[in-house]
Amino acid sequence: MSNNPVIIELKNISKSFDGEQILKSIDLEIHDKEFVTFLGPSGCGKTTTLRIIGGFETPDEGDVYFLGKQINKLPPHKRQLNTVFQKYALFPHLDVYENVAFGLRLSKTPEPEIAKRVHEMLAMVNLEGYDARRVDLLSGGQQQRVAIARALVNRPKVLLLDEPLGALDLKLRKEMQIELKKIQKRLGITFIYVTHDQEEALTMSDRIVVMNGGVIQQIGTPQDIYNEPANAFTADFIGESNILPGVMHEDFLVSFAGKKHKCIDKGFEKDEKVDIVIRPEDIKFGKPTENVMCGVVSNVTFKGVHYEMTVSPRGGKVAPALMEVPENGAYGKLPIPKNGDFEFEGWYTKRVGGHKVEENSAIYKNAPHILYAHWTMYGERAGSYTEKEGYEQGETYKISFESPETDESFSDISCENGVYCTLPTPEARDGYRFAGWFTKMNGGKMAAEGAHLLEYEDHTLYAHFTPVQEGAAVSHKVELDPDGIPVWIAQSTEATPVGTYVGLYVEPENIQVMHKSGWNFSSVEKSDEENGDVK
Amino acid sequence: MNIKAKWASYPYIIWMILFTIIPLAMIVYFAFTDSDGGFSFANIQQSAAHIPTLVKSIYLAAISTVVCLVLAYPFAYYISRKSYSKQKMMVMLVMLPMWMNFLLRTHALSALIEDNGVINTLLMKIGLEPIQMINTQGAVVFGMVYNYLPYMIMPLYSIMTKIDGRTVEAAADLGANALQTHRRLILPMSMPGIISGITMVFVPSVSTFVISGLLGGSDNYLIGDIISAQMLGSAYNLNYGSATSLLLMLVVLVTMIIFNSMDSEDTEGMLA
Repeated sequence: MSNNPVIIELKNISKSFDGEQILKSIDLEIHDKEFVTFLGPSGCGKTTTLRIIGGFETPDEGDVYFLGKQINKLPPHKRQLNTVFQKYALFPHLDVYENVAFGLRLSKTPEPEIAKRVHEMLAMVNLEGYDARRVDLLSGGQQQRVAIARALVNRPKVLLLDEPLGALDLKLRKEMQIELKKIQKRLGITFIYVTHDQEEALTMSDRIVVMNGGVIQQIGTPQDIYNEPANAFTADFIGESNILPGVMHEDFLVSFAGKKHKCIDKGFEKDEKVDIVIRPEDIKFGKPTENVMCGVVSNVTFKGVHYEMTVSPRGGKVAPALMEVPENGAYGKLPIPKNGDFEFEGWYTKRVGGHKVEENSAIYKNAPHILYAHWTMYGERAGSYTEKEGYEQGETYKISFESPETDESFSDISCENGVYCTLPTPEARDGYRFAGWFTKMNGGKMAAEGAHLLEYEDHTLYAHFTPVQEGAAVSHKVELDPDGIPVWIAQSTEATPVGTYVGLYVEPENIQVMHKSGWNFSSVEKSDEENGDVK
Repeated sequence: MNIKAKWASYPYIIWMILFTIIPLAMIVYFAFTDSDGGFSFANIQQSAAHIPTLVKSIYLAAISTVVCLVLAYPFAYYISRKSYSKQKMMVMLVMLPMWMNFLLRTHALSALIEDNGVINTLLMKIGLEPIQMINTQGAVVFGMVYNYLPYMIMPLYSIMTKIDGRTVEAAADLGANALQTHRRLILPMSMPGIISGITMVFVPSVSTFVISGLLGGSDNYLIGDIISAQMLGSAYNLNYGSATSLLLMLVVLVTMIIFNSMDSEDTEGMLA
């Protein structure tokens, strides 16, 4: 496509509304006869870019060129392009024929010519015989066709389409996608298409412009964008993908999910933190061994051509728990969930990434929230608690308690298998709250239920108390979610039953390593809103 | 119709019978009877003498309606394209004079334009000749426009806010400049508002007697003044007054039919 001349060029376009920057220096060339799609979530600036090309907005900075001529200030009615609007924007007081004829009447086209061209267009969009129908009585799909005919009857050099299929049902959408592509090929004109639907973009486009936050993330053919995403945003927005943090140790060697993997990427700094993308269809199931990532198939969905399977470290043995924490206080003892073959790594503030929450540390940001269990995928390391040096499985160990600040006394208890069992809770004095059992009178390590016996020497645990701060009576609920990461999505033409323990095999060339983009995974929503930025 | 809606409508139906249908029947009865209660065409024939006054009433009401339309149309379009909060503000300003009593406003106007009123006193103070303003046709038209302008703005504004901004953009996109967009899109789409605005200004204007009475003087007696004199005033004659009222109603009815037929037809060619 790039051998065709450039028809529209955007240079350094910036635009703000009410002090909020919508576009940040956009540069783009669109070639003649090209089908270009602006793809991105709601509010990414795609509709604003289209409206600047259409002349409905003027850029704050930068220039718009049409066939080499700067057209920044040219009003829409003088531009050689037409628009198919979101929700069609048909003229309700005119019938189908007059709607389509609107542009031709303005250009003083002779009546026989108008009739010929209108009927030609109506035939092209399969609306023959609808001339005298009222537009507000047509179905969504028919209104859409009228809108397309109305825009194309003027024979524009460029057609702008603003989420034109957003209001149609799935089947009609698919039909219209094919039809639009056909029309574009037949007329040989440029289509600039705006959508938030990645599948639509992949199906129809010659080139896709992926946008987010007013910035172009990537420009490329559908194949490029899918196979070689430039960053984690594109990878996540286009298609299903498994994205997780990793570390690039050296060229062709990356570690993620607790394992080292060969890959074909290079040129990163030593031990650079990176994002890893693996497409679901590139994951093959095999025998679980110590050298590969392992997991349990937790969900199987039939997707028509293939099955989509979720592989997770979830063992289902730990239910979500609620715990109450005083305001301005700290996390008390956090339970240690057990999960079959997976090793618990810690509680985190986010499902992916986030801060690790240490026991007895201050409440993160003082906000009520959910803590997520993170798991590592060492499949063959079940029962690792008992492998801890010095402790024997089945053996019991005696613990005694001291609560120096109260008069309570606790008798000694025995704990099995080298982990702490249920620990008693001493009553706190007024103005103090119980902070936990520690291995020393002052300082020391905290002993929590389910944790390893710390430096066991027939030892005594000491109750620690902390003063309760002024106005600290309110409790926050902290929800504990034991579903861990990573959760893998894999695709295959054959279904693997739920509960199967599998090893995950990925070819080195299918491991995409990307620089950290500073973009936050958890903030992305694949929006299905049909509304753009039009007021 | 469901049962509940039917029952709920009864109070107004009774109201309508008491205050619309029975009085109308009485007017018809009086119009066709003489003072003794016998059937007679005499009242109708007599009231035909007021046709010149009726024509003048229609003429002045028509001028007022046109002035209102010319003033209100661009303004209504302007506010309909503003943000919601600005629209509320503007609409409140439009409605503000309506919070004052109608009679009081008209009296205030007359105090302003009297021979010895505020304006003429000011003119004389700066050494200019006083101007004859009150008791002219102009004063009557001014009074009508002043009082009824909001009735033109409101229906126009409410229909224009329903015009989707995207259709205006679509017209521009298809090559229409501002003028063409108005002629081919906004005007035809606001036609229902224009019709109801015209009705709401023309009907009270053609039958007014307060405005013409206070601002028009004896030279500008309108049909409403005649009816009022016959019904309440010096020339008390119920039968005669009823007949004249009936004549006026007929005129209003015909006007309404004409306007409403304009609405349902293809209005584009008619007004463009």
